[in-house]
Amino acid sequence: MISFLLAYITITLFAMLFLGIYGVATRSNLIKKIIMLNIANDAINMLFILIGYRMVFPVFPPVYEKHITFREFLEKSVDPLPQALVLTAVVIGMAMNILLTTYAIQFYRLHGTVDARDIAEVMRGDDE
Amino acid sequence: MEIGIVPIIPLGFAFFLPLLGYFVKSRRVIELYALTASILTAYASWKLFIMAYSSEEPLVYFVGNWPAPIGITLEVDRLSALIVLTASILFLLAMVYSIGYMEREKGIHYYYTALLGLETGIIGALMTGDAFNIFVMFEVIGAASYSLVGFIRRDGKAVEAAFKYGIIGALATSLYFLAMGFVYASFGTLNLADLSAKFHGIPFPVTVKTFGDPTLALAIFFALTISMVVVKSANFPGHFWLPDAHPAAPSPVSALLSGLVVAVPIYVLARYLYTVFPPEGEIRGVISAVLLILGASSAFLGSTMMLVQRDIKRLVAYSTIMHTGYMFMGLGVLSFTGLMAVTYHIVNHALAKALLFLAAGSFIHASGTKDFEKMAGIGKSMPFTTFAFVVATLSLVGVPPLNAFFSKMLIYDALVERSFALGVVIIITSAVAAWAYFRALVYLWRGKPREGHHHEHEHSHEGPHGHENPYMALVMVVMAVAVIGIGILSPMLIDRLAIPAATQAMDYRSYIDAVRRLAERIIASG
Repeated sequence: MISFLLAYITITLFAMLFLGIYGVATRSNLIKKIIMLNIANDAINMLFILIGYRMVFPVFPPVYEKHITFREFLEKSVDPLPQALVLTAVVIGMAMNILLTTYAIQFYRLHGTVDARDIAEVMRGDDE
Repeated sequence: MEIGIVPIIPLGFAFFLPLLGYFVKSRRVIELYALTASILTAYASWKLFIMAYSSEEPLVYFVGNWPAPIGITLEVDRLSALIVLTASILFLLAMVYSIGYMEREKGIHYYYTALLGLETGIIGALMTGDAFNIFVMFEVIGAASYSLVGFIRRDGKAVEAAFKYGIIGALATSLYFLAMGFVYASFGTLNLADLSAKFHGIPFPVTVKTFGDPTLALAIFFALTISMVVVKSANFPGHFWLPDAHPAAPSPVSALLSGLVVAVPIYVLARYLYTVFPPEGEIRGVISAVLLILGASSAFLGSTMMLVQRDIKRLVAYSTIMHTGYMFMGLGVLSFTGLMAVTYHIVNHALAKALLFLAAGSFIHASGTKDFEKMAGIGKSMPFTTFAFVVATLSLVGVPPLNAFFSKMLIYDALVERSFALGVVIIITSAVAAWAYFRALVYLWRGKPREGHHHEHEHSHEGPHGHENPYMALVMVVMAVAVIGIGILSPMLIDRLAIPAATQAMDYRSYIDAVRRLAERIIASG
C-alpha cells in the first residue's frame, strides 16, 4: 500500500511538472505563464522533499529530542538536507516571481494588455 | 589572501549601494563607488589568478570552516581562475564604459547594484565547488541579468524581452534543481569533489555510500543539466530568447551578457563532463553526439540569421549563438584538445564579443538608432569606434594575428580529430559570418543614407555625425589593443595559460585530494 502511495505521489508530481512546462510554453497570457512556472517549481520542490522522506513508522522530524534514543533518531528521522535546499529554492523562487510580476505590470502599463499575442501584433505594427 | 573574499567584494558593495543611492544624489559618487568595487574585485581576481597558477593543486576554501561534504566549498583551479580574471577585468571596463553610455538615464544606482550582483553571480558560479551552490549562483546571475535587460523600462521591447528571458531562464534553472535531486538521491552528497570521489571509487571522509548503481541517475542528471545549459547558453533549441534579450539591454550589459553570462553554463558543463563525471561507455557516445549536433545546428542557425539582420545589435547577438555552438562542439569531442580549445575560446570570445557590443553601443549612442542602414556613413566621423568595430569583427571572423583566430583553430583541430565534416562546419559558418559583418561594415563606413527616412538627420547632407564619448573611446581602444596583443602573444599564452588550465581541470585526482586533505585536517583538529 505504502509503495502504491509513493508511486501515486511521484507520478502526480511528474505530471504537474510536465503540465507546468507545457503551460509556460503554450499560454500566451503572461500571468498564466507565471502561474504555470510556479506549478512546475512547486512540483520539483515537493519531489525534493519526497527524496528526504523515510518510509518508516513513526517518522520523526530532523530535530533531536531527549525522549528518543539516538539510534532510533538516526533510523527514523527524515533527511534535513533536502528541506534546507527546498527552503533556499522557495526563497529564490519568490524573488523570481516578484521580478517577473513586476515586468508583467510594467507590460500592462505600456501596452494595456498582458497577452503576449496582442503584444506581438503591436510590435509588428511598430516595425512597419 | 583567503580566496573566499573574491565573490564577497562585489556582493558587499552591491548590498550597500541602494542605501547609498537613497542618501547621495550625486551621479559621480555612485560611479566612483561602483568603480572602486570593480577595481578591488579585479585586483583580488588577479591575486587569485597568480595563486592558482603558482600552486600545484586547486585552491580550496571552506565557507564557515565547515569541512567538505557538510558545508559549502569554494574550489578554484586554473580553469576557473582564468575565467574569473577575464570576467572581473571585463566588468571593470564595462563600468568605465557605462559612465559614458548611461549618462542620460535615471536611477543609476540600481543599474550599478544589478551589475555588481551579476559580477557576484558569475564569480561565485565559477569558483564554487558545490553542485547546489551552482544552482544558487545561476539564480543570482539570472535575477541580475533579467533586471538589467529590462532596465530601460519605457522600452516595451526591452520589457518583453526581459520577461521572456526571465521565464525561460527560471524554468531552465528549475530543471537543474531537479537534476540535483536525482544526484542527491543516488550519491547522497552535492559536493563536487565528493561526487567525483564516489564516481571514481576513491574514499572520502564523513560521507555515505552510493545508493545502488548510479548509472540511471547520471543519465537523467546529464539530460536535465544539458537541457539547462542549452537554454542558458542559447544553443539551438533554447536560443530563441537571446536575439531579443541581448540587443534590448543597455550596450555594456549586452557585452557582459554575450561575453560572460552565456559562457558560465558552458564552464559548468565542462566541469561536469571533464572533472566530476567523465562519462564512459554508452553514455559517452550519446552525450558527445548530442553536443556535436546541437553545436553544429546553432553554428549554422546563428551564421545564416546574421545575414538577414538590419539591427546592428541583433547581428552581434546571432553571432553569439554561433560561437556558443562552437563551444558546444568543442566540448562534445570529449578530448583534452577540445577542453583546451573551449577554455581559450571562452576568454577570447568574451573579449572580442564584448568589444564588438561596446563599439555597436557607441554607434547607437551617437546616432540614436539601432538600424545600421540608417546610420550609414557614421563610421567616418567616429574613428576610434570604427577601429574597435573592425578589430573585433576581424577577430571574431578569425583573421590570423587576432585572438579568436587561434582559439577557433584549436577548436577546428579538436573537431578534425573526430571527423573532417565537423571541421568544415567551422569554416563554412565563419565564412557566412564574415559576409554578414562585411555588409554591416560597408554600410557603416561608406553607405549613403537610404531614401525615405528623414526623421533622424535632415539637417545634414553627408550622413550622421557621431560624437565619441571619451570614456567609451578609452575602453574600446584598451580592449582593441588587448585583442591584438593577445592574438600576437597567443602561441605563448596557449602554452602558459590554456594548456595548464585544461590539464588541471582533467586531473580529477588532485581535484578530490585538495579538498580531502584539508577536510581531514580540519576533522582531525576537531
